[in-house]
Amino acid sequence: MKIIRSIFLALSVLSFSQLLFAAEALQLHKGDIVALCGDSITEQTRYSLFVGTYLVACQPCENLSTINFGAGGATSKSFLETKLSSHVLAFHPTVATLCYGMNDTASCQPGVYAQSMKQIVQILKNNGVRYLLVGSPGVVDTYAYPKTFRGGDSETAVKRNLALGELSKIAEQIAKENSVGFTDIHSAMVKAMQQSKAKYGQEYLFAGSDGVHPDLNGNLVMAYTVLKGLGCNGNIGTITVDMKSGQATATEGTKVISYANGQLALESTRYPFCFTGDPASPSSTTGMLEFIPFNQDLNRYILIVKNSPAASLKIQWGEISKIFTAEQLAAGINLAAEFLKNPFSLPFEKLQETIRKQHLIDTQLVGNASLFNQMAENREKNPEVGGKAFEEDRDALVQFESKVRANSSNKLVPVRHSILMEPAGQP
Amino acid sequence: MKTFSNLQKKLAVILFHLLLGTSLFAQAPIDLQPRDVVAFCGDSGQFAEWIGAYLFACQPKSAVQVLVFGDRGGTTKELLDSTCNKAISLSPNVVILCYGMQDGNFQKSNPQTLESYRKKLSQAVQRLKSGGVRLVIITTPTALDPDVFKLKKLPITPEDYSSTLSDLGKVAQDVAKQENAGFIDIYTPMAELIKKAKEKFGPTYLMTAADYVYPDKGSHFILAYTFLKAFGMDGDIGAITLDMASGTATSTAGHKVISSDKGKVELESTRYPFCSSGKSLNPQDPLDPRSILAFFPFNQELNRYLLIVKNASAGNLEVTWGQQSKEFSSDALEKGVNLANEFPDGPFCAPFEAITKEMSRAKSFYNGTANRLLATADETEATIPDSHEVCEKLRKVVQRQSELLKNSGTATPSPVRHVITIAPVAGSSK
Repeated sequence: MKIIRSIFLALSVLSFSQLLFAAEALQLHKGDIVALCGDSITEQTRYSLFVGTYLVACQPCENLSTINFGAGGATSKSFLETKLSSHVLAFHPTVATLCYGMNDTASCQPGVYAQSMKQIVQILKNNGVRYLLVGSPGVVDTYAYPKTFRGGDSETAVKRNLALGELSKIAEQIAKENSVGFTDIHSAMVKAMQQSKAKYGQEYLFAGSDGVHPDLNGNLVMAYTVLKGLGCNGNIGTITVDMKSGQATATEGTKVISYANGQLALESTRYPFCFTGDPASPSSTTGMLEFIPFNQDLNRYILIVKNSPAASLKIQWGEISKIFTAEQLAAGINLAAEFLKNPFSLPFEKLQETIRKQHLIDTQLVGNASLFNQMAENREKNPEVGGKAFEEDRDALVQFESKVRANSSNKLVPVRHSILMEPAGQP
Repeated sequence: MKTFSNLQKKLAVILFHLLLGTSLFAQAPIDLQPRDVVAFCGDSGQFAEWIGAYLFACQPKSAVQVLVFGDRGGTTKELLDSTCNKAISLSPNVVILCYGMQDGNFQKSNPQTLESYRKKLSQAVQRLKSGGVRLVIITTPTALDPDVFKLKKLPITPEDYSSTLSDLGKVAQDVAKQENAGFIDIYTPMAELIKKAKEKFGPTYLMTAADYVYPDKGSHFILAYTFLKAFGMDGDIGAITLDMASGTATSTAGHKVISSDKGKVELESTRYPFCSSGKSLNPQDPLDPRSILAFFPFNQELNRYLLIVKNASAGNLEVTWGQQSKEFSSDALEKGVNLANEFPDGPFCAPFEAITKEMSRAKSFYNGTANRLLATADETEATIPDSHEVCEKLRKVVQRQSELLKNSGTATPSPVRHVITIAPVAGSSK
């Protein structure tokens, strides 16, 4: 029975990789500034934080940074009319991701969404955004949404998700017509929601306690689709140990400090992505790992052990130890997947906290009730004085944000860690 | 007999209002100057937004502007720590300090609490005056609703805490005297009207927010009334006079007659009557501020927008204003009917509500966005090396945009076009 379930999961994970995401090569360049644009789901700094932290910690390429342009209540139309030109372009992003639609389904017709998204894509393309990733909208929770918003009528969640699915098709079509990237956040979330509810029960909150704003679980799925859409290849690093010759090597971002007698000391400036929490809790990221191939696709931190002196070895990394066969180790094990709590967990959390603060400052500057909004309003009310102030103040804010963002990226500190390998009994 | 009964009722109402007017609200007028910027600093702000909307839209003095700082839960500690400086940064001429509900610590009155409140209020007045504020006004704390207080299960009886608030009010008065500041007693009128409202509507008529101890809509109305009376507002919003015989119409300043005939006046107004938000769904609902109007003469004293009809062609006339129509006798119209009172859902409601929302948004900016960003600038400067310059720039942006927002509040309200039609009621003769 376990085997059947494993096969089913493997197949579903495989289908995830094959069906949902388009970017085949890394679309990011060194020094890219990625504008994460969306509504309150972006503004709440969860999936956006995961994406921001991944780009800094896991370094698909050097010196990447993100700006959170999420704004509560935003629709594609409101973003187009009030934020895109005055807020986003001021920061000169080179890459942008879009995730609108949740509020569009509540307040406007699909035609308005389509028209707005088309214009957004054109404006970004014409203003220095080299790569644009159009994301489809997420989902509403089939359990929580009706309770929060519609007095318990479960049909309302079904209808809303169908409407979101319609916008998803429109988003895909617009991306295709304009030769920009597309990532199907909606389908990924629908699938992960079905699977997680099948495992944990219908009351398991996949898309948040209000049914709209996912907790960490749903946000990890969103981050996965966005990172895949950006073409991240998931190569964090490979450490190779030959226990016979006593040689150890590591790929870029990880430096071998020493190796002797099964004790390997390393220093890394590239982190694997780290997960937290009880898998059964929506406020965790670990719970989604069986439903999305995050570690397989985006987080491969491989240990290869050649010429093992025993049929199996006990591998200790940080406080955790596990036993693997020599064959497994010769083929390579993914440390990031096998050791969810590991020596990077704490530094990753600290880095994430710094980026979270940066994103919160971003939202104060450009989010829903933000300084940029007030500047734009003052300009509208008093075009002469407010207009001149807007120009000058915009530059000051961009400089401030840039300083804070640079600092958050610089918080990636080298991590010293060791891997202990010793012969063990049967795994 | 019926006539006598109505007369009795009217006399009773007049007497009641006179009593209220003299006992509860009679305080030495505080003289606001044209173009004054009045900053409310306190622990509960909606009434201040209404006052701001009144001063802006009803224009009893030219271009007086209100800024609102502080929010629920504020104490004199926050006043000293940050609110004073925030207020000073926008150069107000008049600052009103309205604290006390939290300063009492929900304990029985004791010397330490009273002394702490006294010291902080005194320091705040001194700081504000040295920051260039012409006039500082201290108020008593607001009053509590004993029924909400019981619901909240606070560790003190409402009677005991009322006594604490009353003692804090005396301290506030003392400080005002010592520091040569103005003083307004908002506790007494609020407490007395809470009592009267409960006598009529019962204990379920809650005058402070059900989940807390701060004023709710009805009591905000009382507070707005108390302040506006203390400011000496005369309540003349305007008068429109139509002569039905000639079809000519005249109006007072702020209201321009666009056209008129024997039964119709079209006007454009830049002076609004005050409009309370909310629909009168339930006159016993304390969340509808209009339900509290029965207890004090707001419209009579502060909100007179008169329609006077001369040479009426019939004994009774139907007046239509906006979506509403009402019948009046020609005698009543000859003397003048108060449109603001008779037509609570008149054509000014929507634009007036837009102004109160604007006030609310401005308050959110000063107390929320601007506040957070100034804190962010401080934190960034303390934690990120070489960030002084960009943090200073951020502070300047916040200051400049706050100033721009403040200055935008001095514009004239958007003109409102509206039509009054007056038609004879069939069969009514003069």
